[in-house]
Amino acid sequence: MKLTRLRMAQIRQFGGALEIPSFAPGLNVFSGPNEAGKSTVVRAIRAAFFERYRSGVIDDLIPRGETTSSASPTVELGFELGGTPYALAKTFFAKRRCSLTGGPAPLDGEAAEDALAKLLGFGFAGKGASKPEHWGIPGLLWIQQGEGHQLADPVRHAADHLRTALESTLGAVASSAGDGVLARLRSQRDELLTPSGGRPKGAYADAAKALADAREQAAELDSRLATYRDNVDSLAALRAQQQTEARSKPWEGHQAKLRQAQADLTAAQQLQAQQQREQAAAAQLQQALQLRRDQAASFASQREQAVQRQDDIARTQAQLDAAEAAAQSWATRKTQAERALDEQSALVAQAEAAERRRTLATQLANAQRDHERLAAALSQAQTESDRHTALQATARANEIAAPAIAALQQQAEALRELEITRRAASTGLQLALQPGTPVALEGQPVAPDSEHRLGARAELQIAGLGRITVLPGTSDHGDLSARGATLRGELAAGLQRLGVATLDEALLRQARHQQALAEAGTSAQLLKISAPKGLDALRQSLATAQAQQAACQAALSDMGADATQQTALPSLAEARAAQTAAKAALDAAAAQHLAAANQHATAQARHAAALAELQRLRAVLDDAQTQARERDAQAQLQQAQTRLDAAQAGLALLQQQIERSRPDLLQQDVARWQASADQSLHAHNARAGEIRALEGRLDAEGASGLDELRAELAGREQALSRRHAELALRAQALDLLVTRLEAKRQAITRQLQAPLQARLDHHLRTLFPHGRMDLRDDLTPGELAREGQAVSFEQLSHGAQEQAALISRLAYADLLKEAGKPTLIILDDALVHSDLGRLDQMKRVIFDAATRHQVLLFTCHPERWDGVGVAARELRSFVTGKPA
Amino acid sequence: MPRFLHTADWQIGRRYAQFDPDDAAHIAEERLAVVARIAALATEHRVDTILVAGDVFDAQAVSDRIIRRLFAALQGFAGPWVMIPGNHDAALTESVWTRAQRLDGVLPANLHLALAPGVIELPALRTAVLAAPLTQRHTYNDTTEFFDTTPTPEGWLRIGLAHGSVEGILPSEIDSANPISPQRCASARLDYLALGDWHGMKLVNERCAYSGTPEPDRFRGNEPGFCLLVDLSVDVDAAAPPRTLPLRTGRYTWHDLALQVDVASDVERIATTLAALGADDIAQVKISGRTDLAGHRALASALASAEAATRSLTFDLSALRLLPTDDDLSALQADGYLATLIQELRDEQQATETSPEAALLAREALALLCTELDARGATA
Repeated sequence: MKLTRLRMAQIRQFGGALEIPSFAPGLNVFSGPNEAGKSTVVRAIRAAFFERYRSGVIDDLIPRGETTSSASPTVELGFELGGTPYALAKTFFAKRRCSLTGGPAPLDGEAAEDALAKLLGFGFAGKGASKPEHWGIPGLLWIQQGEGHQLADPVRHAADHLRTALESTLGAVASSAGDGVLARLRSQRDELLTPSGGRPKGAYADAAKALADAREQAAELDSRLATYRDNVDSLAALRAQQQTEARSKPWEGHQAKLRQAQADLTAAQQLQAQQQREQAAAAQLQQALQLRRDQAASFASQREQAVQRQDDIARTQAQLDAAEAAAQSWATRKTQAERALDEQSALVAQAEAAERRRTLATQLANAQRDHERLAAALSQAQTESDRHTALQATARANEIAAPAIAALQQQAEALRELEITRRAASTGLQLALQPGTPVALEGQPVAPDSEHRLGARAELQIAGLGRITVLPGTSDHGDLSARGATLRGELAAGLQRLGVATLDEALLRQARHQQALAEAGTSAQLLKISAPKGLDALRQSLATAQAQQAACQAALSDMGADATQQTALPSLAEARAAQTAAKAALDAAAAQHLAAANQHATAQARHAAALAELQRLRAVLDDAQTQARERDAQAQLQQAQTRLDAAQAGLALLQQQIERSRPDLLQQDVARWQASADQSLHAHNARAGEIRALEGRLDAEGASGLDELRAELAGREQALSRRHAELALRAQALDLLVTRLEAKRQAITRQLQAPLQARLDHHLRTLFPHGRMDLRDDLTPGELAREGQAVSFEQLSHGAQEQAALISRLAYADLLKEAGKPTLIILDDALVHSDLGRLDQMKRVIFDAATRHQVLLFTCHPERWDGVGVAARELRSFVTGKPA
Repeated sequence: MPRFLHTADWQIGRRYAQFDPDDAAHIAEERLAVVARIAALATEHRVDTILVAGDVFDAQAVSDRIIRRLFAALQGFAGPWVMIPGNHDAALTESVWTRAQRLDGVLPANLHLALAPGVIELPALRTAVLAAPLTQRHTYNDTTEFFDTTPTPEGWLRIGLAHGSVEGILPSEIDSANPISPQRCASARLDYLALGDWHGMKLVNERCAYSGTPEPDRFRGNEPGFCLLVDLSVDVDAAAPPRTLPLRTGRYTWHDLALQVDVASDVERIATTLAALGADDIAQVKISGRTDLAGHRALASALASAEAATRSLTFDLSALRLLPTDDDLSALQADGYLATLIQELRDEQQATETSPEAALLAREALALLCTELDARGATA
């Protein structure tokens, strides 16, 4: 279809008219700034086709200021379709009318409109404004501003046309009814099978469950029935057993056996008792026999004894002789030993004496020595003691108080000092006169060669010369003298007190005292050495020693014997040893002798006894009475033996009997039969109880009508199974149908879509050389795949969607055209979101499409559409008449 | 002349839950009703005694209620009933009989129940019934052997009552194993041997018969639904055989129909057959062969009508192949891939030998599809 001319008046801003006298058969680009009326032109074209001329609701066409009654929006256009030119004129509102010329006959009004719809492939609204669902093919190809990217709805609304076009290009393999039938079958299938997994649901699942339940119940009933039957059989068996037992009464047999066993046991026990009694009797007999034997034996033994005695006598006699001899020899030996001992003793005595003598001599010597020593010591000690005493006395005598002496010494010292002082203070007088000069100092003669110190006035008289009076100068000379005199007086007093004339004497005394003390000490020590324990002890020792000496002397002299055999004497030790040996020998001999004597005595006794015994025995044996008794005893012995033998024979027999009867086994038998009888009776009673219990159970179970229930259930199971099978078959068949129909439909769709897909690919490759865009079943674009990535249409960016949508539309257009449908393409401000690079590519696409379809492109960016091969025409250049 | 009624195999307590519960109730109920009918017949024909040859009950553990109802149904006849247990209701140590005995007042006084092999004497009728009840669940020996050596009072009739299969006469698919010698009548000098176990009425020889079950109980045929009215001649020396008259007692007729469709006229024929079924018919129908959609529709319609008309009707069309014609297809407005699918399914359902399950599935799918198209066509 191609538009040839367009004129519109009184539409929106075009109060006057707009006329486009001609259109290019291919691409037409119309430009104009915003609000130039581009969309109005598009609206006018759309209204001319889509809106009913009678429509009262499309007042958006009315210019401002006008009303529905005043305005008459008019659109006139000429178009060519299938080689035939048409002219459409439509006026709305005030002067509404519609006419279509060019077809077989001119058409007016609704007829014209309906014809138009049929020609172009769209529909009309029942009433009200036209809506997208009516726009059909034009709705798909006339892209409104801002809706370029929306494809799904326009495609849907044009789907049938597209399909028809697709089909007609193929020569139709599709089914007209297919989709509806498929939908219904699918819904029927979905009643029975889950859509996702194809598992039973709804009535089908219920049937399966019911069947399973019925089977389960049946199984349960079966088991109950089986139990019931088993119980019936058990009951039969038990009853039979019970009857048999009631007839045979096994416990009676057991009891009989028990009684028998008991009798046997009693018998055996009696035998045993008897055995015991007989054993006791036999024992007694045994004893009796023994007694008789003893008796007989005693007689025999007596005789034996006699014989023995004879032997004894002989033996004892021999023994006696032997013992006598022995005793004799031992006596001799003993005497000898005695003699030897005496000798030895004498020797010993001698040796002892000699020894004693020696000892005494030694002792005497020692005593003498001691005596001497002690005497010496004593004298020494005495001396020393005396000395000591003397010294002590001296010491005492010379005792002088040390302090006194010290004081004296002090005094002396003081005096000396005084003297010195005096002397120093005194006048010195040195005389160095010719010897022989008689000099007297203070009347005292002095040596001519001397020194003197003068403390006071002194007169020196030199004979023949006269006198020299020395008058010392110091004044305290007299003091000193006085002091000196005092001191001298004290000194003298002290001396007097001490009893000495001079200090030196005192000192001497003291020294003597000390010396005496020292010597006394030494002396005491010496004394101690000499007489450690004291003199008296020493004296005593001496006395003792003296006594001892005297004693020794006395003893020695007492002894007085001579020592003639001294040299032939053995030593004392030897003698003693010999003596001891002799003694020992003697003892031994004595002992032996004693023993021998004892033996002798014993032997004698024995012998005597034996003789006596023999005599006695003889007496007894010879006694007639004894002999008689002996014979008697013998006889009785025989008897007893016989009786015993009999008893034992009897016992042996009895033992055999007992063994045969096996009382141990009989005991067991009794226990066994007792237990059996008890048990069989008990079992019988127990079984009776069991039977009753079983009867009760069966009664209860039977009353519940198990078999009837089972039969019922069996039938129900059959019915359910049938139903389940039916539903299963139905479900499977539906599934089969749905699957097959869907598959067929899909195959066809793919077939149908193939050409469309080809067109799409063709256009897409202009934009994306290696791209591919799928078509969905509803013919909208699906995934766009390029460079290994696949993105769904809706996920594309706005710009990309615009491009993809436009490409799809162009593909649809190609297809529709092939099917002979009109394909006018109107792009109102399309591809606004495309970048320049893409736009360039899109231009190629559009240019290519324009070789097949008429394209009206409205834009406010003519510069964007540069290079599209066609000059853009300004819209305002077509405006005629005043604007509204 | 002594006259008695011979019946057996009542199978009281049997359930029919494979049918619709409503139908099942009626069918089961009829089994008790027939007992009352027998009693009524016996009274009507003035028989001397009724012989029931075993399998009175279908199982041991039937409910007490059923037991009571059964024995109550005997009221219609005041004369003596002689019953023996069969294999379904064998006289075990604990059985439906012992339970009935424990229920107070259930067993009527005029019932002679032989729970052990022996002779039941009916002095008033000068009749001795030699009864061979089954006393085990499974019996493998001839329970009637003792008949030969059992004496009965001089001049009395000797009637045998047993439950088992006469050797050499009946086909092998028989209920129980217990054999009965075909010579028993002769060897035991019986005037009549009343047998049970075989559900169809069958005259073994002139003195021995199976009465069969008085009310058919299953689809297998062999003439059930009768009891036997037996007239014996007292004049034994004449050795005249008894006269045996079957009396129909069964209400329902069980039909096991296997029908074949190959051509269109077969469909009509089947429809007619089905239409002939009525309220006292119990039918199971299997239709095999092939038909087009029209024929299928006609059959479905006939079956639906018959289902409504009969006591019970179950059918199986799995062996009926659907072969829609081209007309069918266009009538269905099945075009395009629908038509293709229909063709495919039509072909697939032929492969009954190689893959019978797939064939069945294809058939079912085809039927569904055609039904769907049909319905849509009907509404469109």
